[in-house]
Amino acid sequence: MQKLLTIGGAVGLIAGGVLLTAGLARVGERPAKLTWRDPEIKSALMTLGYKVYGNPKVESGRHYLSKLVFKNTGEHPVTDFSISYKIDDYISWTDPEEVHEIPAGFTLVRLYHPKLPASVTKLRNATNATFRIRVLWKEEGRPHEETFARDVVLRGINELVSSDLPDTEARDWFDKQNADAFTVCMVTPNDPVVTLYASEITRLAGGTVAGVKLGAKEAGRLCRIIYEYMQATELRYTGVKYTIETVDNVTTGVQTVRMPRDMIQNNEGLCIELSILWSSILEHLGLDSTMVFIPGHVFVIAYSEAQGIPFKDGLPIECTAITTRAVEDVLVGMKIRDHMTGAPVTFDEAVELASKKWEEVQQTGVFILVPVKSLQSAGYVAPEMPDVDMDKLTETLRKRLPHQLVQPELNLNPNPVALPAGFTTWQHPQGFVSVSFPADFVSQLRPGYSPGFVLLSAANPAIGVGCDVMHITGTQDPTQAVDMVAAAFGQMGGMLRVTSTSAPGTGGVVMFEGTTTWPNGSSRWICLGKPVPGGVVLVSAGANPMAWAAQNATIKAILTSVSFK
Amino acid sequence: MKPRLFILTIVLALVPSGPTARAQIPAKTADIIQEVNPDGSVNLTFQFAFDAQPWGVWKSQVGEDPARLRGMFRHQFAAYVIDDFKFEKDDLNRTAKMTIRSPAGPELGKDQRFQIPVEAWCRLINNTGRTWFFSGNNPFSGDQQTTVKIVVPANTIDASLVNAGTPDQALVYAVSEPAGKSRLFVWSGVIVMLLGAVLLAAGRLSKKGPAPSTAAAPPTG
Repeated sequence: MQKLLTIGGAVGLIAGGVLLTAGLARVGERPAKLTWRDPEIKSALMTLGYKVYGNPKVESGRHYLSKLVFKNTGEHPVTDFSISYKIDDYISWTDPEEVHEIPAGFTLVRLYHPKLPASVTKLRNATNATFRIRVLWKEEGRPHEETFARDVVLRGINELVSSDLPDTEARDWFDKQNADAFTVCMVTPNDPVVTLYASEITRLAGGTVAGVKLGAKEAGRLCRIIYEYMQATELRYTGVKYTIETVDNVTTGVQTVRMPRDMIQNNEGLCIELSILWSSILEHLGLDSTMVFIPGHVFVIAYSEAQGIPFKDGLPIECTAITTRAVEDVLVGMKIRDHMTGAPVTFDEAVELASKKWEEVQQTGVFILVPVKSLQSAGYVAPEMPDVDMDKLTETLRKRLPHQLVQPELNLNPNPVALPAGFTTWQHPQGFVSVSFPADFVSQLRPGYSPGFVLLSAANPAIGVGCDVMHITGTQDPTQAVDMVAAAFGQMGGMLRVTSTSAPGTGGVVMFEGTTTWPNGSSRWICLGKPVPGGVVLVSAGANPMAWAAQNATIKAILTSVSFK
Repeated sequence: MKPRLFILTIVLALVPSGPTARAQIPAKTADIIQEVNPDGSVNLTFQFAFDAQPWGVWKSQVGEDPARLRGMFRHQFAAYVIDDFKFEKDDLNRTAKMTIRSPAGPELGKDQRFQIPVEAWCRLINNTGRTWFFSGNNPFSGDQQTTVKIVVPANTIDASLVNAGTPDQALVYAVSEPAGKSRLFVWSGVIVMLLGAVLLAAGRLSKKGPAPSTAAAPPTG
């Protein structure tokens, strides 16, 4: 018995020792083993959206360059895991992203959002770059390393891709347009070029409006001014530039889209470029916009949630209507015009055209909304852009729309000047002033409608030019007289803004420049004001902004003919 | 970047094609169950109930086309790993149920603790053992009434809600190491060794037992 117990005890000790050793040595368990799925690496990046790719917060991080899925299939932890990335010539090896321990059976996902340098915006054409990934880890204390390398296409700064969905997944137009949000990266309200362009427009609108509380009426007026400015400066719509390209397993439309600054300098644009320019200007002026993508086309809806103009009450604008040929057949087809006339498309027609399209697509459901501000908030922001020669650009813009008429030579001598051929002269009933204008001008005075202080209102509506004479009583101050006219127009639904006022000259004559906007149109004018016994006489000549440049000579001739007694 | 677990943001998938949406089709209610497994994988169940009109619109856009719905999920939540996608709908009750499995669920922190982000608008209602209940109105989906149930793994220890009510609100926990073969060997070895030691001691004790009686000694002469 004793022997049996001794032998049993010895066997137990040995067997226990073996088991303990096996346990401590983890015999029978699968060792740590790191495995991975095929790396998902995007075949192409749009350089115009380089800030989007670099921001992991945009749309839950879905704009990554690479996604790697690792799994520890062993029963022991994988240790000292680290991963780093490199894009040859653009990004050197990144600081390793480390995980001390990947537990047994655990899956680890690593996304890479590359912080590309701003220099990528200098790429004009698609350029190949080699993307590398380096992974280090330890299994049971033994170090391992794996590297991956793929070619990635960095697209040119003006190349806008409509989809990044693999061909196997794309089924219809919506799928082929799934990257439309990147369009917002081209909206550049703070670009100095856009700022300058907008300031030229606000000059027409009667001064700066950015940041000012706008009502629906004022917002509509502002859009009208933008549209008429574009027409007046002969901004042109050009046809579509669209190619289909395939990179790896993604076939997509690629459109060469210029930034607003390039459009402004070239004075022409595609529908998408015009929409982007509109969005940039509207945002600069404190309004919201949403681009509406429909098959083959884009237009804009202007609104302002912050200022009480919700999207549903927004103003749809057909941006391409600035070029009559681009839309006139559609205008006739939609019965907005009776027949083809070749006449410039008015702002009201452009709005009606876009409104009808908007109604139509809402019925079919085939459209994609790209709300600019909310997408900017989500991280779709514009790239950095190089400086441009602003002096040269200012000069270019000024040449397109002469802002300053040559100062009229005021005829303060009571003797009338020699009239241009075809002009007729009008005399103030009390002889305070005389003015001449083309004989084909017709009276615009409407008894019971025109204010009593308007003595003369003559115009040629066909060419959009006219002149007025007003006699304001109760003040001797021309500036106050103009303010009184502005107040009267305001009560009638118009809006008069003075953009510049000269110092009183000989005889107390003051020259004003400004704009007047009515629900059905706007005009730009120059006005001469002079105190007369019992009041102030105002003589103005002007044209709608679109006709301003063309009618410059007529306006100058009218103002030169003004003779104060 | 470590992808956050797509717990509640996925509710937005009801809005077709993300932020550049055609139209928002908010469900009336959403019930979400998130069951986390010990290996970090997660099973997600989303159940939505619609009013009559949105139900029709939603069905016409995606509800009749589960492949499109899955494609949209994969596109919108491309940062995540979605391995299985199942979809059921009940026209009678106007409900849709989606089940998803992802091998990579909670985020693993440097302290080796796991973290499940919870949207700030979700308030903790109750916690019973492994199950945590949250509720709130989703401001990104028309203030849709949403309930969330999170079930943490069985081997969870020290689960707690951190940064409650803030954008960093999260359920944080650690897990106890599962008993593997090696541990079994170690404990078996210890027990068998102890047993051996007892037997050996018993053997020794029996050897040192009382001396035999002289009366019983064999005669010498």
